[in-house]
Amino acid sequence: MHGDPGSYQPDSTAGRLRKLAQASSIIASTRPLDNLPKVLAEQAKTITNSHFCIVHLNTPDHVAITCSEDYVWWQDHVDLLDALVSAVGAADRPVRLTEAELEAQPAWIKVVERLPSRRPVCGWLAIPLIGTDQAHLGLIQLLDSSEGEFSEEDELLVGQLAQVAALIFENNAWRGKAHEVVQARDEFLSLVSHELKNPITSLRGFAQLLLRQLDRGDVPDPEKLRRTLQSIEQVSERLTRLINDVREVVRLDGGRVTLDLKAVDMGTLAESVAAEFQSSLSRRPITVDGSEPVRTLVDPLRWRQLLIHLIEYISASSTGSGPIEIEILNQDGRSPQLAIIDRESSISSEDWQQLIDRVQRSRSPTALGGAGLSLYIAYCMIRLHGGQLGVEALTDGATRIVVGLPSSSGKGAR
Amino acid sequence: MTLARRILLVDDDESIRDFISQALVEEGYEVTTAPQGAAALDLVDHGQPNLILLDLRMPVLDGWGFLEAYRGKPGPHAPVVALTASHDKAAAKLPPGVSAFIAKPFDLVELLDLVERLTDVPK
Repeated sequence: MHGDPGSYQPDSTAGRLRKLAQASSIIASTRPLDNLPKVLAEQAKTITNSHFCIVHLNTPDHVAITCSEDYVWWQDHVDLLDALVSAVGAADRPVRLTEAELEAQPAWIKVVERLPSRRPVCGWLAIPLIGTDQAHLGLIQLLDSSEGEFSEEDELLVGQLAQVAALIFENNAWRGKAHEVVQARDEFLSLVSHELKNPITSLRGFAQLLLRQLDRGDVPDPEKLRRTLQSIEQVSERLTRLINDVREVVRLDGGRVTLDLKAVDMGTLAESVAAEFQSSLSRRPITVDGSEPVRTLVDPLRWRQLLIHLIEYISASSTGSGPIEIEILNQDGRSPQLAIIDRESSISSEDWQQLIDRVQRSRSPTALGGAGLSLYIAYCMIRLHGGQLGVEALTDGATRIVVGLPSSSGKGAR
Repeated sequence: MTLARRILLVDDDESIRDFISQALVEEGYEVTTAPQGAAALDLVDHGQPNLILLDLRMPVLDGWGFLEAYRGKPGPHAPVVALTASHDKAAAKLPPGVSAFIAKPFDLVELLDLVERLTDVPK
């Protein structure tokens, strides 16, 4: 027993229960929550009348220590306790050791070696913070009760306190996750609203343009009229695809997209996408160069979708009128590649690399700004196929967007 | 003879660039277009417009990025009208250097009136 034995009066059980109730109340009302580890350490130390308490929290990684004056030196040696925690499995279950039991622990040898003239430690109590799903959230460790060894009552009281703290930590984490989910939903709705307003603006604009011409008594030039009506048709198609894209993002984010893998020739598939794209989506020609057949395992529908979204994103970011080139490379069958090159793109390879870094980090299309839905869906499809998205700078200054696939593909099929 | 006023239209949506360009050309303006901020910066290096119509949310370099880079160039600077699909946000946080904003979907007459006022071209 350390401290001043003459002045110490042990608490009655009722007194200690009162302390536990007060401690629970203090912990529950602690704000900001960053202070919780420190408050928990202070309350655990108070309830057990111990001299040293250290609280480790896993998420966020945080350590708080509170101790009596005589134990301040221990703060520089808490790493010695880590070995003990591992050795006795205190991360998963409460462990209470007496002085003799501590000295018998092989892990305690390090304490003996480093601190030969230390005061003997009369008792050690370790109580893990366990979540409702049995996840390890943290650990409370106490050294030296004023009565020497820790009692079963100490273990029960600190165990109760640890449960309260675990619930608060979990509630806090859930509240944070719920807030993130709501925020992500709001941002997504905002993005969808933005993306819907563009085609609606175009439809309204083309209609008003034609009305102005008629009001002025202009005789519509048949060719211009045809182009305007074609634009209206294309915008209507885009609106339909946009609605489908929104549904797709919801399904992708909910993990509800499954792949139907088939052995497909990549060149044939790219040519059919190019033909479809040119007939309805773009005024730019698309060329497909595949020197040899490349058969790989993909979901043909999703792969088409991926290609369309990538080309759409590249096309939307460029004023070029020359061809968009698609290359299919076998790479000796090791890792087939599909590459897209826009030699008139104003996006540098450095900008593309930044975009790819952003899409790889983001969990939502909202982080990608305008046209983000296309790039986000394309990336999700590549990831589902177990592929990679990369960028290469060509010697003529153009940028090559590369979709790499594993040799047999379909790793991510769900 | 009055020289045609030059308008730089920056929007990632091709059909929006199409109909606004058509309407402005019919009103006698000279129009150049860019699908995003980086391409627009290249264009202003080759000739200062009298007015910039600028979408804010675009890939690669968005409207805010364009404005920052454009304001960093030697003046004089053309007035900028922000075209935005986010009405409330734009009203609350109009970026520095923006003379006016117009919320999508807008009325074509409203846009043409604004362009006329800011370029001061008599009809």
